Amino acid sequence: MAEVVAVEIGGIRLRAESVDPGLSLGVDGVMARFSSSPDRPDVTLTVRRAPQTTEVQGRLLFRSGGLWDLWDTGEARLVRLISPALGPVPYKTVRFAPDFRRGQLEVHDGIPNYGPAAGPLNPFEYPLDELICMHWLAGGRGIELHACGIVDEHGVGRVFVGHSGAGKTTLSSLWRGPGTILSDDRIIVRLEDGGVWMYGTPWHGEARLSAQGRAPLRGIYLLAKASHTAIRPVTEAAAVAQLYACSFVPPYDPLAVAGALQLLGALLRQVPCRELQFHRSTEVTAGRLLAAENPAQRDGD
Amino acid sequence: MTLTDSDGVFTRDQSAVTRRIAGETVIVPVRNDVADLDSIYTLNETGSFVWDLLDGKHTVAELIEAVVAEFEVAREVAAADVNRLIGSLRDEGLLRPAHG
Repeated sequence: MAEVVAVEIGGIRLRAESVDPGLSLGVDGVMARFSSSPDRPDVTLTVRRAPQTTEVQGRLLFRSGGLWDLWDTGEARLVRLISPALGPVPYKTVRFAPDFRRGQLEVHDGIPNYGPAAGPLNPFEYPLDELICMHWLAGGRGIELHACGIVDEHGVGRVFVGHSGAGKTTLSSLWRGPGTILSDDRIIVRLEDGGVWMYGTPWHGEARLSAQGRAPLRGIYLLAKASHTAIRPVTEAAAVAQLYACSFVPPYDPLAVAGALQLLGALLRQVPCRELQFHRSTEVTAGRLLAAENPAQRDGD
Repeated sequence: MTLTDSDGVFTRDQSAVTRRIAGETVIVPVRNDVADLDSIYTLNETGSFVWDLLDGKHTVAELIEAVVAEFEVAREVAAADVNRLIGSLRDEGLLRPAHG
């Protein structure tokens, strides 16, 4: 039970404060691994209860196809969160400043099995956490990729990028040897401190693998299932296109899209990107990857 | 594929975001619905050359002549490539007639 909770995802510090005496906040499950100090937040939410509403005065910017929509009301960006399990009316609404650094989260009353009666409320509950991070990163600060991220025993990070069904979970299960899987589904990549870093996220895939942490990113692999295992080169343009197709970027915002393409170009100038064709019968280790990339470099694996 | 009128003039979708990378062009349409998010396009060097000329001023015939001059290919080959590209871009909503 708390009035203030904070998490850090992808190096982004999110802080939420209840301004409603009847509303306690908390984070649990996977998100609890991402708890952090509430000091020096990048994004701040205030949280309170409010009656449900369906009317919006503004311009629709994006409709996610079921879970949320986003509106431009002139002075704010309004996010309405909707769940088929909770009915057709939004169960939460957030009014963000246009830069997404501050927001007012309203938890709507009168929804069975939701809200204060169900226990402490997680203000960063998915998909709001991902939405905030996506918009915060859009200013050229980084990019979220649909990827499995693995850190090997030497602390070297690699991301394996692909849509659902491309094999991220399979590859996670095939990974052998010491190391950490930061997520089997979503990884945040940022260019900072003169290098490229990959961060774990709470958004996992079927393997439910998720961890807080970051590692220097040394390799990007575009996943392709095949009857054999091999690594193939890709052109820079093809790499940018495939990475963008597997990224989470505000698609309604031309500046965000342009910024993402620019960032991906900068990323590829620092980190090699290749296509990884793999077969599910093949164990994958850092040694095998290095050997496949550079046959002259063997590490005894 | 729809054959394109050689006098036709087309212009690019100004809302699409493009980035030139090593001679190729990545095109990302700006979208406001999740149903449209799968669309992203990459044009090779020839396609990029034509894309730059789709400025609402050049006819299809002029585009074909420009490709012939730039890449030293047969006119029939250039015409087929240009028509195919314009047809594809129109189908994807990335191109529209400049007049009307």
